[in-house]
Amino acid sequence: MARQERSEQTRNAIIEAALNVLARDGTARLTFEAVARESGLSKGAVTHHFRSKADLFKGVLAYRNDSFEQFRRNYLQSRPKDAPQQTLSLEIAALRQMVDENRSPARAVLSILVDDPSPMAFIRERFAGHVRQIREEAADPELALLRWEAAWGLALYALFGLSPLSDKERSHLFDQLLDDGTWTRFIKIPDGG
Amino acid sequence: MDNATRSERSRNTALKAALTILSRDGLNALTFDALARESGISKGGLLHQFGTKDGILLALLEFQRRYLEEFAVGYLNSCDVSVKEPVLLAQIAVMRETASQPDSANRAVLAALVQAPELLETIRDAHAADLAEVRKESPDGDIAVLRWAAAVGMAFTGLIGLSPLSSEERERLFERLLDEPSWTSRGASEPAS
Repeated sequence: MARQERSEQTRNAIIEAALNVLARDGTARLTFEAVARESGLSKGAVTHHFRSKADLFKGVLAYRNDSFEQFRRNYLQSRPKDAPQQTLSLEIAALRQMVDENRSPARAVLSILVDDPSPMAFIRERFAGHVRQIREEAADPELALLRWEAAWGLALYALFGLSPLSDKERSHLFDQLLDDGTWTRFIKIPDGG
Repeated sequence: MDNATRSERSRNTALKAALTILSRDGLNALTFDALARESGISKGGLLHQFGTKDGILLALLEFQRRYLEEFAVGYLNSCDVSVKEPVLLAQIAVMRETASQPDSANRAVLAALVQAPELLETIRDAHAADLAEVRKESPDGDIAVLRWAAAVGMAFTGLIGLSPLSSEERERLFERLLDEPSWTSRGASEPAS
């Protein structure tokens, strides 16, 4: 195995361990010692890959983001090429996935972000791209953005533990958000559009 | 000034000082010593008033909740009597107000919430009650709940530094969420002109 590949594997093992610690013990317990214990690596090996806790957070975020990109690719492949509003459906489905599958680490990551949202900058830029696409695909861009925001609302409320909705209700509402037919009756064509 | 008024006033002074510390220095910096320095109230008095750090956070939450509740009542009073979904509109307006407040203060309260999930319960219960009202008053419960979720999404994505929308765009989207006729099928199918 090439050295670079091995180093990449170690890095991922550290991030997986960090996610476990975050999910189990919360942000406050995420220390280099805890991550070393969890991963079975030395503390030196961990700090070699991530020099600060902020560095480690960034790594965790990038890793989560990559796995969502993977999810997006798979989702797109599963849909007909000519389906309308692809980006919107994709983003809604990805948010649903975030709540369904990864409640605890996502929540821990959120707790970091509310303290300091700066690591989010690169993800925000990516979102700006998604939003641009969602607008371009839609006859009524505002309505499309509201569907996207509603998916965020459902997801974030659940992750923060604030949601008064049951899992079943939330799932039903995600179905509604994904169903273009539910929304056609609310379409307003913007002036000059 | 009677004793009750004086105590209420010192409580508000302390809570404002706590918000200042939280938004300037973060959650870890919120100690009784720091709070005494910032508010000019004795540490003994503060300990008597709040008991523990969680006590301060709970009081802050209550402070914010009461502010938003008064805001909702004010909004309802200023609303046209012909609106059909007053509870929903008030909830959307509350989210718009949250989104327009300085991020730092909101984020501090949110950070406190994330780290002390037991504090979330009261909020969740209140939302559950509101949501039941929203479903009851609306001819289309799912759409009503999704409008509410979109408002939550806009407020929360802003808080965690994820929103790619400008404040003008966000404002336009809130306006549309609040516009009842846009959300009845008949109104929507008629051309805007």
